[in-house]
Amino acid sequence: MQLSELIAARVVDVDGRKVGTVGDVRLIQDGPYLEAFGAALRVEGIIAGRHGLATRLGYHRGDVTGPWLLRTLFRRIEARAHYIPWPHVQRIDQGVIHLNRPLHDLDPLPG
Amino acid sequence: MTDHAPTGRQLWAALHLLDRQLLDRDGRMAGCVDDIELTTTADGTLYVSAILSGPGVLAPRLGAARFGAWRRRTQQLWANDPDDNTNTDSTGDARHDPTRIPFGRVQAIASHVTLAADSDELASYATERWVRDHIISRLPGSSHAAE
Repeated sequence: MQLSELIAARVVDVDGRKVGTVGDVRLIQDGPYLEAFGAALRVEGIIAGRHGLATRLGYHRGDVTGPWLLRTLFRRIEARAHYIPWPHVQRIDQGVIHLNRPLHDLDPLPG
Repeated sequence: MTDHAPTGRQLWAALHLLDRQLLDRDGRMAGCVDDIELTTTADGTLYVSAILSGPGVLAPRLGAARFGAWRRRTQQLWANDPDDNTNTDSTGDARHDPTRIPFGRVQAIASHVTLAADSDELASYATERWVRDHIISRLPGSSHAAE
């Protein structure tokens, strides 16, 4: 699988309701050891929702501290986005990511 | 947010990796991160296994998947040409996908991605290498052009 197959893929919940599209993929460096790099990067989860400029500029991350005006504005716009841990993904079928739980059980964005 | 608190370094794939400049072990520019290969293990965990960079890799992201697949195929045939030994990888294996850089050869990720590889080995450098070997080197005086 390639990252480009995940980015912008449609996401639906266990009942077939639309969650949004994938905006970014969160990676954690805690996998098996690789020679030059160290621990491998593991896919920890995805962000799904209505994305735009905020995601492209990185304002979906919790550790962005400013500028506060932009951060406040983008956080409001991104309020309907969700963070989906990878174990909640049931299958990927023809560009559509199917989740194993309903929309109301999904977490909001981190931060 | 998650069932367990992650302990390793955290990155966002599109934000921190895609389209970043690749630098080889000598600091020479060696293309961009056009895509990333993900591999699923037996327990369903997904890991980043390679950086994809070079002719045809970016095309699917621009909506030209068929052209991209064709371009990567031709690049692979070219790289595996038995008469052209300049495209073998560091292990001497001539049959490999030249657009694929195993993640074990990534040294560091910052504002650019540093590789533990020479740009000469990479597909993203293939066009420049071909122009150097087939055109520039045949120009009169090219042997001392840098002097």
